[in-house]
Amino acid sequence: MDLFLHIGLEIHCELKTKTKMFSSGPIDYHASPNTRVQPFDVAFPGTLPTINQRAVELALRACDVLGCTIDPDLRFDRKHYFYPDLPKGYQITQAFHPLGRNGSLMIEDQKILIERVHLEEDTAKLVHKKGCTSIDLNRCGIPLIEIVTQPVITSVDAACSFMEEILRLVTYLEISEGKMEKGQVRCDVNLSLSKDPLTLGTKVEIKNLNSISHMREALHYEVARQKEQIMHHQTIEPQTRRYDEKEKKTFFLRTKQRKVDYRYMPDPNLPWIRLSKEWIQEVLLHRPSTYQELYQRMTLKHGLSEHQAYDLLKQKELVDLYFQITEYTKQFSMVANWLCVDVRSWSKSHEGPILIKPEEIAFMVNEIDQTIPYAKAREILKRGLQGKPIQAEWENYQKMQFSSQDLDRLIHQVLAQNPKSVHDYLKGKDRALAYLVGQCMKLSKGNIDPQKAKELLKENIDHLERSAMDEEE
Amino acid sequence: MDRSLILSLAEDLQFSLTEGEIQNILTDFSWVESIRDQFAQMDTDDVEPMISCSEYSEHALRLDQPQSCLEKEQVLENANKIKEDQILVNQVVRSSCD
Amino acid sequence: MRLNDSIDSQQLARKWKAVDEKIQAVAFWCDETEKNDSSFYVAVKDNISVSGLPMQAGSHILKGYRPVYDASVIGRLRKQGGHVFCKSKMDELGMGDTGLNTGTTPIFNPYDLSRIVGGSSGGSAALVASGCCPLALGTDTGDSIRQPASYTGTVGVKPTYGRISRYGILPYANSMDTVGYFTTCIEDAAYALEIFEGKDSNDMTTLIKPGGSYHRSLDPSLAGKKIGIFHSVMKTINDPVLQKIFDDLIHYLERKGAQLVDVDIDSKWLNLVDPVYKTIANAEACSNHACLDGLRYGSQPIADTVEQAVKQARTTGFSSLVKKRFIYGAYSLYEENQKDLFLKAQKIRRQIVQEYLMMLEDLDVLLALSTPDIAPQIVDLDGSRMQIESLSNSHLKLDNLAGTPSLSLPLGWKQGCPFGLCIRSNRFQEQKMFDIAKAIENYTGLAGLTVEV
Repeated sequence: MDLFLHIGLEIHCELKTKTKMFSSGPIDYHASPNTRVQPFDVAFPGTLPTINQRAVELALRACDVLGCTIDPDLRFDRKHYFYPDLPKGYQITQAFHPLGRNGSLMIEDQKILIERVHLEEDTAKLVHKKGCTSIDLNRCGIPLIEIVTQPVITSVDAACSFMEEILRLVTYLEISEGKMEKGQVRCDVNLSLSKDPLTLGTKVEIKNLNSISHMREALHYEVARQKEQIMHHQTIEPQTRRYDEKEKKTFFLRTKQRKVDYRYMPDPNLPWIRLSKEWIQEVLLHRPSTYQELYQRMTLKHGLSEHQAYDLLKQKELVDLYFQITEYTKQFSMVANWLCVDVRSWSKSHEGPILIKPEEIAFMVNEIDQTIPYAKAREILKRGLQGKPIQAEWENYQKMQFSSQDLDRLIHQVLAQNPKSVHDYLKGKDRALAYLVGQCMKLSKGNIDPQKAKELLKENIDHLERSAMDEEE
Repeated sequence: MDRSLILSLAEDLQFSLTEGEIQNILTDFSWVESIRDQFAQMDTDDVEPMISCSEYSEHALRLDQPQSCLEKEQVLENANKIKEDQILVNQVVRSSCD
Repeated sequence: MRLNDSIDSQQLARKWKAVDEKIQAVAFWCDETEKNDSSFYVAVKDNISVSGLPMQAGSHILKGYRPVYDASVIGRLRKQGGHVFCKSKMDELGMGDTGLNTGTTPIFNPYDLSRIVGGSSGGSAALVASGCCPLALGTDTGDSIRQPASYTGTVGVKPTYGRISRYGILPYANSMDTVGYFTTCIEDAAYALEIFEGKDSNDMTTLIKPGGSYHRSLDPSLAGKKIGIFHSVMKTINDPVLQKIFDDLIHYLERKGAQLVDVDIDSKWLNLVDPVYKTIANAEACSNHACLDGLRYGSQPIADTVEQAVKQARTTGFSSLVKKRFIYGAYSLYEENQKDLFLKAQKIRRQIVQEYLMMLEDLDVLLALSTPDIAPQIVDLDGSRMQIESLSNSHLKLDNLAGTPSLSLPLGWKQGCPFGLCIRSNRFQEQKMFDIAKAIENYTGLAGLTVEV
């Protein structure tokens, strides 16, 4: 029997703002409990919501990139239910008038339809212990966007790809850190199996998926579980299940037989705000570039290869740094390479920010093959990552460079001290030249350009040979 | 409106009702239904619901600048049970219905 | 007592205690040692947050709650030299109009202790009426300032919705809640609006446009003023005493050159005022009080599970009447009922308001009696049934549905008890309202009216 899979995703993404959605309480993920709380967040009677402009801007970015129709009338509604993490007894959300509607995202040549993108507020943090639960209100009210797809995703892989794309999207749009493991982006999956590709089966909701790999495991398990049930002619009940990462299974959480009525009601404390077309346009004009837009810029405008561009794009921090550096230099490929090799490996073993300023890096890059060989420059840049001042390092290098007079003297010295090697080279033994170059490097303590030394040695030896030949004649 | 509906509403609103209260609510329910009939006679086809007296806000959106918050002690002083600076409540049995 | 009166604090404190023994209007006293040279004392309805003072709003569910922040109006009050001396009792959560369901003892009318004081701002009304303070803050969602003002012979003002910030005010129905106040005279009422009104960035429903200097601009001239008489409301008045006093006033106004005109709204709209109001108010109230769950403040029962604790808090914390109203409110918000009940009520609200504003547009003010009679006797009341109110009571709700400004001032007497006249004008036209109120007050001679309890 053929069974058809229908998956819909409900994704909640915490927005990177300084204050909460409906109060000016500051957001600080590292703060100690209940120290970032305003009266509104405790839901003390009489408190009132105010709308965070930045949250609206960030949500507009997502709506734009997801191709949604944007509703310029900002309206909010109350969704009522009781739970200790919801102090007001209702969540302020956008039930009737989401900010964005009818968008889509291409995943592997399939257009995934997005029903809505809307703004809402996050709940408080509950910590369940034995026999009791404690409430930390710091997280209460953090702005969220909720992205809801139509149930049109037909494979587990596509669902995971969609999620990966969303993580990348929110990261590049700078609306969120995009870390599922930190709970900044959460995904609930609704899936059903049916015998007919055009109808939906009984919906099962899966919660508590905090990484793409967990999502993949959970969905594969659930599909297999449901297939098994269907094979045995057992009915699937509408239900919510949670994924247990230790057991790698989904477990029943609660039934969805009785539809919960949230008694949605427009919030009278939040009159409508009409967002002007000009303001929306202004916000979207200045939004950060998406992954795809950056790829275009790197390949078409900067001439990076596909490989280089994709390599860079694996890490947004490097992409950001790349564009900062290339404000000051046109050595695009060199910058890209340096970032993908040296900086990436350094940042793998080092915590903390990159200390070199983009202008300094650009300066070094511009000097390569002008006043400093590539290898030397690379060394200096590496020391720069450790905090050493680049300009000073370059100046030191310059100081230690041999003047052409000193270099000539050195060449003559080496030639004088190694007549056998000169003789061998003249006899055609190229290794002898390499040996002479090595001697030059040794004597100069590495402070000369070996290529230059090689050329000068050759010049001098040729000159010697010609002189000798002239003499013979 | 019947008894089971009232009990279901009370459950949604998280309180229980005495028998007397249930009867009282049932008795006055005809009043609610008469209102429904009265409303049904009004033609409101092209009318937008009036959410509030102030429908469009004159205010601008709030700038994303943190303002001072309550001291931890102020957040907690009205709660009877506190542990490690968090409000302590009993065991949560149900999972959130959201 | 008026705002400019000089006071002897000690004498006043003795008077408060003596008066309150009888009228029982005070919920909580403010700590006396905090008083210094304030220019005037103010009673604050116990649904308005004053940091450090208890707030119970007449409900057991808030037992023990002490706000940690001030309502915006309190800041404005203190800036002008006002000092809070007590929280006044009120009907539970603002949902009542008698002053009997206060969670503790009832409030008694200073004019006649066997009568109700009205509500839900009954405590504030009683304290001003008995000369305890020149100003008391209240709130008006359906008639909760103007009705008790009528029963207590005080001036009760409900300004345009959005004039005064609701930040810090325990809500009843946010789309109609209006902060207002009681005084003994129109001059003080005009001045008080200047104290309290203004944009508040904490309350997105407040108006941006600056208010007026109502007090300085008071102009009691009547010549040429167009004054409407609310025909359908006055038709329901049965009492000959009240009717005569009202008619005498009308004749006086005409003699003074005002243009009096009978105005009305079709009864099909008027009959809907109370049902629309109740449907919306019950739904919004049950939503607003979802935060009262006994977990973070107020009454916090001990139980085995959180679910049981919340249920116990809400079962014992709310009175039967309030629970009933929540049930009806939630019912009208259920998805299958919204179209016929809640949403429908909101649509009809718009239609009613359109008619009402059209009627007010051509007028300077509209007049009617605030209440059909003086305050009822306590023994005559049965508050347990819900029923449609008569227009003579429910007409006050028009100003809550529309957000228009409205006040009640004492007009006359029956059996030694006062009753009030309701003056209202179009939105933002408080100056007109105060002007004509002042003229009428000059006629009645009742400025500064208080009673010795």
